[in-house]
Amino acid sequence: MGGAALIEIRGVRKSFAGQARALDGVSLTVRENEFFTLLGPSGCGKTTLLRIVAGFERPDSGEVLLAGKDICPLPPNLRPVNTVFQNYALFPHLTVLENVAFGLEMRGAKREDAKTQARQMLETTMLGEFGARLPSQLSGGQQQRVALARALACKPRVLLLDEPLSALDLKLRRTMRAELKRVQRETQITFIFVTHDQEEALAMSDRVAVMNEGRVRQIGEPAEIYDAPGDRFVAGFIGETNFLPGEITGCENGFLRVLLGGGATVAVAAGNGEKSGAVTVAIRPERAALHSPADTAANAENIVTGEVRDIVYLGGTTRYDVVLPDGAALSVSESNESGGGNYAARFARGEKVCASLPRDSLRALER
Amino acid sequence: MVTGAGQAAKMPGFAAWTGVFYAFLYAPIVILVVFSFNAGRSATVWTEFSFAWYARAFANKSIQQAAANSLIVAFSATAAATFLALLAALALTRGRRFRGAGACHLAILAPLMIPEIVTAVATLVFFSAIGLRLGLFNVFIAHTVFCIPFAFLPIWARLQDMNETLECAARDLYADAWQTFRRVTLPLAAPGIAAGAMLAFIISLDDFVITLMVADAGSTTLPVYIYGMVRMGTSPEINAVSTVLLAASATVAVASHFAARRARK
Repeated sequence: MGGAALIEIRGVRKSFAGQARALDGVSLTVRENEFFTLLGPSGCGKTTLLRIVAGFERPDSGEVLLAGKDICPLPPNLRPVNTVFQNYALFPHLTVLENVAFGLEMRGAKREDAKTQARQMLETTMLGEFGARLPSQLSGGQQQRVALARALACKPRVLLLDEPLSALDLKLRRTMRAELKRVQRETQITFIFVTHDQEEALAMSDRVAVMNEGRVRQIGEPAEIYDAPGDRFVAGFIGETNFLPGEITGCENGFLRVLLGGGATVAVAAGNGEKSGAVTVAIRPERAALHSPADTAANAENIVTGEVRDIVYLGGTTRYDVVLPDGAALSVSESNESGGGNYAARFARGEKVCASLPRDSLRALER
Repeated sequence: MVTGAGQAAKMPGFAAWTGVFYAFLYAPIVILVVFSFNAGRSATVWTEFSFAWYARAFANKSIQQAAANSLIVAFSATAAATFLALLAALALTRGRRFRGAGACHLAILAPLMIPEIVTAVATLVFFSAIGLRLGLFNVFIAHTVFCIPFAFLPIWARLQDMNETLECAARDLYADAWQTFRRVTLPLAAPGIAAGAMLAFIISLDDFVITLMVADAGSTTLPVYIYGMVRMGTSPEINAVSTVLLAASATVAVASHFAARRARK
């Protein structure tokens, strides 16, 4: 995805009266035809940033460029940007067809032409039969599709989606996820998608910006965000992560040597992070592997020992909660490959185990 | 001891007391209506059913004039008060937050708490001080003023409840500020506006104290005229006029109730 920059956000700051700063100097670039996600916990500023791009808020400072032009002075109706709102914001007094035709008509199309175009839009989104209904007569999923059709009917340069799936139940959410992704591919419209759901972000996005407390913590492709989190917040927010406190003792062949609290020394891939001092070593539960201490095949390097405290069977995987000598917790998840109804945990509660931590899967992050 | 609505309903004699309460409220009105159809002059002895008093009342030129005045004032004051109340409600719910917004809100509603006689005297004194003597127009101004808070409340409540995201959505879909107002805000606020207007209409139609002070000889409204008739001695004609006024108020009140119910949906 090496498209040209379509939206450039430069040093945007915004605070609301009586509150902490909502956006504290956000800069990022969204490329043409990209599915870009703003991911973060509630209150991180992602919705405020979206509202600034839509034109509902004005930044205190900084600029927002659309195709090289600062759009901050423009009101929302003069921006080639449309929004799918969290609760859809369908006009309750207008029919589905009138809802979809609204934007076209406001942009100057004759009422009849707008209706014709809206009808075509409804046909292509399989909503043709609902044109004459009021939004209140539709299910949540149908309302969601109408909101999408209404926003896309005007063929915006950028489509903004503010947690559009959060009001749907889990199954429908999965379906809509795939549908949104397909629509984005087919229409070639740039999507900026706001969510607090990391699974959604990983599944749909070309690139993800992880936000917290009004700042962008990391921008990257989903695998990059997951495998190479830039800081402790990102590592903890996306997926599950073990954090093991340690101390950098040296550097060797491009790998940091970290002395963990339990006394073991591990090699850690040197990221662009810390070079010395106290760090926290992060590793995903599925990247670590457990061995019996007797198992001599266990890699001699990057081994920590501990005791199994708990075993959680999760169907596709089993999670072992291991306590290390210094009291740090290490979760290890193993996939259950053999089925046949004869599952048995590989280790028992209270058993001593060795965990090997592959050095490429370890990240040394600021504590 | 725990007492509440549930316990009160189980008290012995609850039903009887409720009956007495409603009788106290409505018996005089029922009697008034019933005797408006009485053929005889007596307000206590029933003779036979008749529309005679209605016919007499409708034929009475003074009553016609007073009824016409009442309707002219009620319609024009309702229109003016509802329009002003809508502007105020829009400013307080949709405008930029401004200093003194709370005080403005309070000032709009304060007339509801001021004794009517005070407003009446103040209005009379004010009109004569500035030398405004325009007959019915004076009544219209006075009515517009006291109807504003009544029209304001339902409109304000409706706008307050309305999801502002809908207006954002309209702006997002290329509607300018005026189009947003006309195509989204106004239709959605309509039930509140209708309820406010009907409330204002009833209040204006029924007003007595302020009108008595402000209206001069030619601009008497129906309630003031009825009061004049009562002072001359009761007659079933009064019952007939009052019943018509009651029917008009009740119709508007019921319509207002349904408008408000639609607004809540």
